[in-house]
Amino acid sequence: MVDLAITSLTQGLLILATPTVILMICIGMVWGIVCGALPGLGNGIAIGVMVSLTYGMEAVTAVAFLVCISVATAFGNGLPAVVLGIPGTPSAVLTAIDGYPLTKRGEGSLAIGTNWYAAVVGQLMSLPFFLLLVVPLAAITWIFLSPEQFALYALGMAALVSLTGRNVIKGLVAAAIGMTIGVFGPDPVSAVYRYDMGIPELRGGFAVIPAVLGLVTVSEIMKNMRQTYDWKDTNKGASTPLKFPGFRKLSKSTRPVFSGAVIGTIVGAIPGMSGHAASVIAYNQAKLTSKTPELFGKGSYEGIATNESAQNAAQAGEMVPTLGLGIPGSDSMVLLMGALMLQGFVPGPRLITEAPELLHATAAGLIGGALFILFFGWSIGRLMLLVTRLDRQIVFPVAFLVVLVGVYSIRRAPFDVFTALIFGIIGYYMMRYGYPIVAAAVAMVLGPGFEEKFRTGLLLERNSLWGFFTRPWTALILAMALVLLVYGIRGTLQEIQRNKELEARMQEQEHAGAEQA
Amino acid sequence: MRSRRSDPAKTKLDPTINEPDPSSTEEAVEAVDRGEDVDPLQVVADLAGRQGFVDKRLDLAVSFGVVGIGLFLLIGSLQIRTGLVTAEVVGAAGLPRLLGGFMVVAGGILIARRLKTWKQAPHLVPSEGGDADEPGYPTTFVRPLLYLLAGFLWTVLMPTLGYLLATPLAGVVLLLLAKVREWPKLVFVPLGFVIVTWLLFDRLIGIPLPPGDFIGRWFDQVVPRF
Repeated sequence: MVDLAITSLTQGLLILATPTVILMICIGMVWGIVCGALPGLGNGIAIGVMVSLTYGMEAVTAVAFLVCISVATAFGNGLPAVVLGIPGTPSAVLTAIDGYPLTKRGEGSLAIGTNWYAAVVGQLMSLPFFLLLVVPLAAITWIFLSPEQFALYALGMAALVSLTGRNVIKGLVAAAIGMTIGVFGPDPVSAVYRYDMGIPELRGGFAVIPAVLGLVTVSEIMKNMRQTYDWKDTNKGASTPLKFPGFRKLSKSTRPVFSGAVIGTIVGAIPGMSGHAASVIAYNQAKLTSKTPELFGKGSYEGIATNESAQNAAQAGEMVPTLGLGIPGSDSMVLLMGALMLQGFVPGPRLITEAPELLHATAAGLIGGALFILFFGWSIGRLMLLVTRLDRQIVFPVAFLVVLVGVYSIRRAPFDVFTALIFGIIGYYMMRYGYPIVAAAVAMVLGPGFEEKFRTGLLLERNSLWGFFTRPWTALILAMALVLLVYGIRGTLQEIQRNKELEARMQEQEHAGAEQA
Repeated sequence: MRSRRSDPAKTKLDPTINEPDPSSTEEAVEAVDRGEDVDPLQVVADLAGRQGFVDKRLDLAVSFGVVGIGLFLLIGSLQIRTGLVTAEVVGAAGLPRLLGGFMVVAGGILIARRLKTWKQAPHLVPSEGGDADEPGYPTTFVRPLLYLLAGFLWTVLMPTLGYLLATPLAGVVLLLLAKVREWPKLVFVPLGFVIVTWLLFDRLIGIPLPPGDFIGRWFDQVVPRF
């Protein structure tokens, strides 16, 4: 196991010596930092827009490219948080609360420097943890047969349903919608056509990338188009002069950076838990163990350090279930998986054991991203403060067009564009009405495998459900899935109670308003 | 997450403006600036717990949509032929029937729950995890739908007009929908976009984009493939 981890590191470094990979990592990093720095854009749009560029790439280059975009987004989102008080994504909220007061006090350079230091160390530290988590997982799953693999799919989906939504029923419906998308086309066991409705394009089912891009990226762009914002005055304070603070000052944040990196990698590895959750847990832990907890929330370097380190490390953590179990744990990981499927890889527990080069490429993306931030992060960070002045009224239409062109260029099929647009509408309404999109997107990608493993597993057990479900690993993994669902149901019941109280309050307000009128 | 201040004039257009207004990052940052005590973790909890509000009639309609998908799956599964693998008990129609049945039941539960409190519930109800609009900014569902319509039209028109004509047109429409009114942006952004993407996809990567019946063929001959 350790051998494979070390091999991945060395192979990753070798991949990094390829000029094409270096070029693509540089492009991916700049793009990712821009998307991270622009409030409203996130990983889903950053990766979704760039997926189309990977069609012509080798798989290794494509993976390194997409991985480093994730890395860059995590770094970029802290920049406007510190200088403008506007978090690029929700993961940087705590950075804004602690960073912006420092900028206002004239300590912006040290705050940005801490952000940069935490990102670099967080990324580099998360790499060995990532490898040490993913390699044993891949080794265990190698011995799994169909029933155990089915149980793993069930566990991944249960985790997403329970941890990403507030209503388990809606979460399960979202997963069912995702699996329904995967049901169209040939049946994975007997190749019988299902639901082609006489439409020739549907005989092969919905293409994965257009459907995922529709659900994740088009719906996100539609959501941003729903409200009218005045973006023009986002550049307050963007001209703050910055000077590199020096390593001696930065090294004072080392302890929270380290704890943030460990927590970030572990929490990020749980499907459905995000960099945001990792950063909150790490922040709380850092506050509890800090010598100056009273500064947290008033401008604390430790606060910035632990938050940024955790959310950067969580990017590597998210790749643990994606590569170790074949279960993408977030929307950006679904897009990565979709891009891999386009390259001919089959998602599932054996992804890494059958294609170890993907692990090497991920290591290359993580190392390359961290090195890019190390050498150019400070200078680019300063430039990005100008990027926050970009007019998002232009960015979103352009992103929408890039997605359309990208989808069209997969097979030059208008049907694929229609697919992306239709799933964009579905995703938009799911997003609005509380049906978690991530659960749908993951279920869509895993659905065919889920069905195939169940049916071939039953054949393996001679159609005995008892034999199928009492296999030791299958039973254990399914029990874990059940526990997660029970946890989700508990949360749903609490949510229902809260909503009842909220509705009662709102109705009282409505009545009071009506009486006044 | 944005940080713009609320514009009182605009808020009148926002149907969800009366919803509880949770603390935002900007407010927290400003409070810290004023020297007030702010619990950062409480701010994050408030943001995470921020509730989206939706029209209860539309929420009900979406639940009916779930039942509809379930019925579609169940009825459609009757036409699925038996596969060649006769030894298995589940068959090609097994999963669709399971999914269909589940969606009918789950949709039914959601409908029943909504109808049970229909009279007592206010017009806007919590969306249970749905994305919350940001208080203070006008909302419209028309613009996202017009975006999609523009996307459909772009796809339909491309074979005739060609990529080089259809795309700038779509670009201008999308920018206008995004309320861009400055003519240099309306001219140069779509033009720049179409030139860069055409060179990248058609000439560099080698993915042919439809030349159309007009200027595309001329460009095709004049600009070489790399």
